[in-house]
Amino acid sequence: MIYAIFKSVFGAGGGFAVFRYLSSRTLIAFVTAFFLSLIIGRPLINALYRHGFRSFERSYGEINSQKKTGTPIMGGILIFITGIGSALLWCDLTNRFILALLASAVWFAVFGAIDDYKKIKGRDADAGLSRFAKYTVQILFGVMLAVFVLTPAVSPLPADVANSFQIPFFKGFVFSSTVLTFLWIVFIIVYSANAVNFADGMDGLTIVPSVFVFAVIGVFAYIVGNKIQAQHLLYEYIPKSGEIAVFCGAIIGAGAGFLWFNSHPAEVFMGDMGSLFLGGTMGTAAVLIRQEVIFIIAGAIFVIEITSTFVQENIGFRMYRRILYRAPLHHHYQHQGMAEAKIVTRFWIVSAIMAALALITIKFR
Amino acid sequence: MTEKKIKFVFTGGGSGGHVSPALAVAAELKKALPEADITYIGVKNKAEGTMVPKVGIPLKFVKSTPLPQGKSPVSLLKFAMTMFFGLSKAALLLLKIRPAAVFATGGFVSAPTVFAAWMLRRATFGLFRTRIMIHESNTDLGKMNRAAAKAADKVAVSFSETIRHLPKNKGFFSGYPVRSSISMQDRQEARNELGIPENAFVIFAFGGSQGSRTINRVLANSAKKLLEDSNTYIIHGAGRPFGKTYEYHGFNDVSGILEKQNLGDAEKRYILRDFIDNMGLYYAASDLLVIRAGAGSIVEVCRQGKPSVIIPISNIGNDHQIGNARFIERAGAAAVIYERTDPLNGINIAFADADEFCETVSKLRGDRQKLAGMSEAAKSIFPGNPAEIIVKNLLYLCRLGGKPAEIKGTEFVNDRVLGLNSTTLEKFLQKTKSGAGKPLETDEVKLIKNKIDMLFSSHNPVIRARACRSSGILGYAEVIPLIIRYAADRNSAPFLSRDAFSALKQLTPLCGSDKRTDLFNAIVSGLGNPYYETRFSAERCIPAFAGHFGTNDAELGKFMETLFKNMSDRCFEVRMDAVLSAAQISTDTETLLNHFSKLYFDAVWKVRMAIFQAFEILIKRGALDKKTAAAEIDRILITSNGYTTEYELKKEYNSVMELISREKKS
Repeated sequence: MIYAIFKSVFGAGGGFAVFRYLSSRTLIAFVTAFFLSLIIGRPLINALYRHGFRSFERSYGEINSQKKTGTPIMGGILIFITGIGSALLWCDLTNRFILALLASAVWFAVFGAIDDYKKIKGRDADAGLSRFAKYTVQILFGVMLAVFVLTPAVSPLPADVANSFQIPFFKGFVFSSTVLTFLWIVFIIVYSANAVNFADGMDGLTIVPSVFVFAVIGVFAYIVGNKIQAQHLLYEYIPKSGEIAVFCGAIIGAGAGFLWFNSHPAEVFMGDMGSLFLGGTMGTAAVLIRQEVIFIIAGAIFVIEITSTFVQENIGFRMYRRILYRAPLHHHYQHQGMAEAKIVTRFWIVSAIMAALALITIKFR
Repeated sequence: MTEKKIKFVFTGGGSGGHVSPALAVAAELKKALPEADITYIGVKNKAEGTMVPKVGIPLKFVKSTPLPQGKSPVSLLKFAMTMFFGLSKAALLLLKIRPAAVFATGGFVSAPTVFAAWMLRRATFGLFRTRIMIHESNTDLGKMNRAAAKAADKVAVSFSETIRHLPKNKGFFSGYPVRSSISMQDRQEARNELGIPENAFVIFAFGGSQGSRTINRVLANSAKKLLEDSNTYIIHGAGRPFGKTYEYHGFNDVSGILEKQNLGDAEKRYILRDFIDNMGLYYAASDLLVIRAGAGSIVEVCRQGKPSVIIPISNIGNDHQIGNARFIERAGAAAVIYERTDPLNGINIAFADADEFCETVSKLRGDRQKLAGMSEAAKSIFPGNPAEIIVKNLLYLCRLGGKPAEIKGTEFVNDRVLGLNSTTLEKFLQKTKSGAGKPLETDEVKLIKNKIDMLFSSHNPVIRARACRSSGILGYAEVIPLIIRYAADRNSAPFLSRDAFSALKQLTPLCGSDKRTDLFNAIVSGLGNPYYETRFSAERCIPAFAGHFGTNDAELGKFMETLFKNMSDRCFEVRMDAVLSAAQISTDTETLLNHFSKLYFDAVWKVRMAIFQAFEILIKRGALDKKTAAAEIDRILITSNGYTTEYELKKEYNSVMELISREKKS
């Protein structure tokens, strides 16, 4: 919005050129979102508590002084307001990449909020949206995004890039297929929304790896959106996709601001609203620059969390046994007595390593 | 000019119990509104296929199927496909007929029509203005009806307590509509027609149009004993399947059993039928009825003023039949015999006990006064004319009649032990055991034991595992041999053997000395089970075993040997419980400490904590002197990666809250 104002007031190439650079706007978006979090964080958390958005035990009873009962939930609204607010201020809102990202943010945030609200109202963690409803909403968005990306008339991507697979360590396109890309995009959206959702279970466990992933996607968006860089590093140039970096900067700032309150011991939880919104936009951003494999590598923690749950619940239960002590994986360690702060820190380390690995693939091709 | 027809669609079926109320209402509707034009929508090869054409109502077919039991994607997809076709066809039919109202009696058969009507209404923003009314025949709403109730404008219920489960102002009490064709016949006439003497005692048994395996078998098996009394007659509607493929053929089954029974002369007094058309005749001739507890049967029977022996179906549809049966029993109009399984002897198909049945019937046969009392009680249970109430409400819904008066039905208490599944049963037992609920009464314990037997008869090992856990909490000693079998069998599903051991831990004090060897062998086998949770569950049984039976040298030696082996297990929980169990039974502290010392730097601190706890046990037992203990403890790594957080503010919150609640009480 501010970008548009400056552009119309000063014209292209006029004063305040600093706002025209992606790198500077990314940084400003980050700072804006972060400080916005610090300003509205406390009152927002208090408001959530006052309106009854609190976590609860499965059974009624007194507050356990050793447990997190009573912590305000649906803190995803904080990430949403600050991240999307900052993005609205600093992104080019005529850019179709940004429009797609905003659509995914609103779509997943609203549906996560409904889920959270139903759980609070029902006072039961099982009272949320049904599994069927969740998958329907996710698949529906995946289909819409795939249509958007694969229809040349509306797609912001060049037609030859849109339906091709890019795999790290290999130059250029590996192969092109519209049908497979369509299915792949739907899969990535459903996967990312669910994976982040499963990882949400400990203080700071979801937000930090998410921030790392957004950082990696931001770097890639900057590269593929810059003609010189893209040619230099042998990536397919995707015009205007650099704007995604600004969006990522805003979400990273919002994530840092959220961690301010969510770090152990947490004063607020993100809830399904937060995890679905983060997961959904993350997947969308990765799809828009067609770097889904990089996204999977950088978000390896999410892969581990969703796989461990799948193994335990689907494979294990069919064999009538537990394969891990508990699932998702962070509970597996918790069951062995490891303190939460330790598990979370170790998961951060792993996700930082995986993010670095994802960045290394830029050069190793 | 021809008079304008007002069109109605009726639907519902699957079993006779869903069709006959619809037909009763249809008949009443035609009486009240002669210009009504009724079409019936059903599913092929079900009860409606034979019953509906008989009364001259045109019948159309749609596809439908019950909700699949499991969650397997294949069955879900199949269900979705069938429902899709069913819904489409139903929608087309509705668009063609454009009825004023849809009346559904529930069950999966009615689902496509009800939802199609609802969707058409939503999709056309009210242009398609069909009203929807459904009738629930049982005390509890079925899964389909629960969803259908949301789509319906009004829900008629057979039992007034069902209204509570419905949205406000949606439900109204009607009762269960009964075919008016079953009118009272004269007893004398009926007996003459059937060739039964005036003073004979006539038992009339029927389990619905398809027959009931339980009723058929219990009757056939008790026939010889019951017919020893030469004044007793049995009329038996054994049923036959509708379609060509079937699981059970009632008539053939009963004939087979009777042949083996070799009744001789008494066979003349056993009147066996496959299908009974003329219910009124048989009702009139009988003195005692043997029935299932479907809403239809009990209402029909009670209206006839007949005493009955009810054998409710267990373990399906939230136990509603047991609920119905107990309701009639409490009202003093029936005796109830519960069906059960006998997993201990491998009988996993539900049956009713023939001896119990004979005894109940004989007792009633000898007490004519009691029968007369039951008869009177039966007549007063269901007042009003349900079909008439439903028709009045239906017409009011279609703006064709005035607002009918509301009628209050008979209230009855719901049993807390009914409607529990394998999971909720366990929770319920834990709650009552912890003293949170009222203690269990004798008949409740009987019902729960029946239910646990049913769970044990399940094919699903997870259900059987839960049955083990429930048995453990309840202290169900009769099934101990079965649980020992599960525990000892290396081929049991892992969850099953695990839960068998956790049940045995609780049940060991109830074991007689005859089970000592079996239990010992089971535990030893469990200690080496390939599944880790079974291993540590078996370890936890050892102290209970030693505490109850004591241990001889051979047993102790075997236990200690395996426990030592398990102390180097790769799963920390197995190591932990090996340490704890060994500390409780060991007699050789030196060897024990030797084995413990390998775990002093165990990567999982919980194992080291178990060693500390073991030292406490040993010191309390006097098996370890404090000086040695102190020296040993000094060698154990005390650093850990775990701690408990404590929120001081919440602690203070609790102490304030406690103060407040204490003052409130005083």
